[in-house]
Amino acid sequence: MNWDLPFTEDGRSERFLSERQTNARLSHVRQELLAPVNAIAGYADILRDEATRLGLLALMPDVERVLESAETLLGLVEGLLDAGTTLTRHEGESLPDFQERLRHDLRNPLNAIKGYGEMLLEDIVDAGAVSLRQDLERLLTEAARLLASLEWIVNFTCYHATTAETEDERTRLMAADPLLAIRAPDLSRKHPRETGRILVVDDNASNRGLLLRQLEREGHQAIEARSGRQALQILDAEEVDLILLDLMMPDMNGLQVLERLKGSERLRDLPVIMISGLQETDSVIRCIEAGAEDYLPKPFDQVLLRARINACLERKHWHDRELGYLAQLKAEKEKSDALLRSILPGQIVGRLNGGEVVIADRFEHVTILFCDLVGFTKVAARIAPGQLVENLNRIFSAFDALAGSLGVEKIKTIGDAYMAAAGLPEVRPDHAEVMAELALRMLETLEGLNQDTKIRFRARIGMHTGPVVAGVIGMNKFIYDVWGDTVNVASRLEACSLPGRIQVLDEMRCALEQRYEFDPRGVISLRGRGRMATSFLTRRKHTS
Amino acid sequence: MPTILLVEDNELNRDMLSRRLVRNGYGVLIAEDGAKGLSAAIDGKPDLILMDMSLPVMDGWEATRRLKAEPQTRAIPVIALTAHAMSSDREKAVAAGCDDYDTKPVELERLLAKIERLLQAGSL
Repeated sequence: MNWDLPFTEDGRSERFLSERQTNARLSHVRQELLAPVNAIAGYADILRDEATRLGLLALMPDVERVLESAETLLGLVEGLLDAGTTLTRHEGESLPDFQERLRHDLRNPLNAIKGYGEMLLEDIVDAGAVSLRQDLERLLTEAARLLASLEWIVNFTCYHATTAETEDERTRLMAADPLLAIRAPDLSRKHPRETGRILVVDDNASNRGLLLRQLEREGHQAIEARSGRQALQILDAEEVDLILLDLMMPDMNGLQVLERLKGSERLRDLPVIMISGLQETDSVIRCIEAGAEDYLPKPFDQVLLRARINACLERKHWHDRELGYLAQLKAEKEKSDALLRSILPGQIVGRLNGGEVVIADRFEHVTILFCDLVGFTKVAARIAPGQLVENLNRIFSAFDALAGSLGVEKIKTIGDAYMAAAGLPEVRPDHAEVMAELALRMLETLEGLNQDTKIRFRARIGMHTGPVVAGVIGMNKFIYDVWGDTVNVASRLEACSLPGRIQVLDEMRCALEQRYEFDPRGVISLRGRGRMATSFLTRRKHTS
Repeated sequence: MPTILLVEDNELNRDMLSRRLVRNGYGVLIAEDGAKGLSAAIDGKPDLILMDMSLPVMDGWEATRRLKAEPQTRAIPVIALTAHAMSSDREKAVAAGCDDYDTKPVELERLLAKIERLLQAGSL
């Protein structure tokens, strides 16, 4: 068995460590011996509450006497087991006399507990209060458990009250590990195996039994584990809300269990309350640092237990709700991001999310396209609004699909006009070519759509290449827009283009000539630019 | 109704054991120490004495020795109650004149059996 705590990393001296280990071991022995005493007091507490609740006032005096004796015993055992206790042999008292005195002092309260307990058992049956029976029987079982370890307590105390032994002898005595001898076999208690909510991890059967009982009385669902390993196994298979974890356990101690929990993605957020003896304060601090939520000193105070557990569960519930809200928030954010991405280019969404308020970037080489549905106003007057919008939607949706497939940015529609830009927000050297491609396909697509409807739409297109400023401005209903002379020229080229034609200036024709065919239109007057030579883009060149 | 004298200094134990004896149909006299136990035995003429051994003023060993030396009381059976669980205690108790002995905490059934046996032996 390994009772040592692995608290060595702070580089303390070996001497200190060995002292520390000895203290830890002593502290554990103390807990082992105190556990049944605490359990007796705990059950007596429960009995008092229950008897009060049921109005069995006749039982109260004897229940009080059990409590009184349990407290006497508790004080006695605590005093006896404190290393360096003031309880030493009287002057001239022989060791056998000292032992006898101890036995006598210990057995008197135990005798009272047993006697009153057995009397109460008779009274309970007479009073028909069988609900108290189980707790009373548990109390008596703990008394028997304590009796079984009584001789050991006496010897342990005598060993500590005797100062003559050398350090070696003390170590040898301790190494004999009396714990095995004093531990009564586990009682095969039948706990209702419901779905657990609070997991109690303690190797001491008395502690575990009392804690489970107390938790059940508080309305919790309690499950138990006898070791750290068993606890981890249970946690693999079951969901719990809270763990009560004993610090000192053989094989795998509480801190090691805690570290395993905190290293697990799934179990990390599970609150853990450490159960600890008062003398393990340093270790408790280590556990809190390692992520334990709280600690509960032994012996358990019912009120403290209730308060700590409630606080933890409340935090857990808030935390769970918080996680729920966060998931909801994340989903909402994803929805709004998706919506935003359908309005603005993905890159721009990222920048707005990143905190940029005004986005205005200059691009030196982009191509702007305007496409207008010719005679739309006349058609609009002829057909029902619903039908009109439906047609417009069909056409523009087809254009959207084309732009998307070519990686061209649709800027907006203005009435019956469609505006697109190539080469932004991602710069691309083939912006003119890709826009020429879009323009040709738009006309082709429109032709195709016209086959399906009675109304014949015709489009007029103009495009131009040059520098622009692009960005998002305004406080709301913002769009990614494009400004600059290039935009104006493209718009004017569209305005004076012809149905079914794509008009460009000569400078753009020069850029595209190698791959596309053009019909020269001649010289036209372009507002703001004067007289300019323009061409109509007609088709792709068939390259072999 | 047989009467039992309980000599016990611990108040709770005295209260508890005396009430249990009453419940089981015995009359009970009580004394808090060896000296009082001695006079109660003389005055009350109990049928049996339950004697705690660790008593103030006069301990149980001494009280038993005196009871067994006294003609008026030597016939009253004495059961020693000790906090020991060792066999040497039985010899010590017998040497002091006790008729039987039992340990604390008391196993009531066992103690009642011992009481009954001694009472029946005395009434023969």
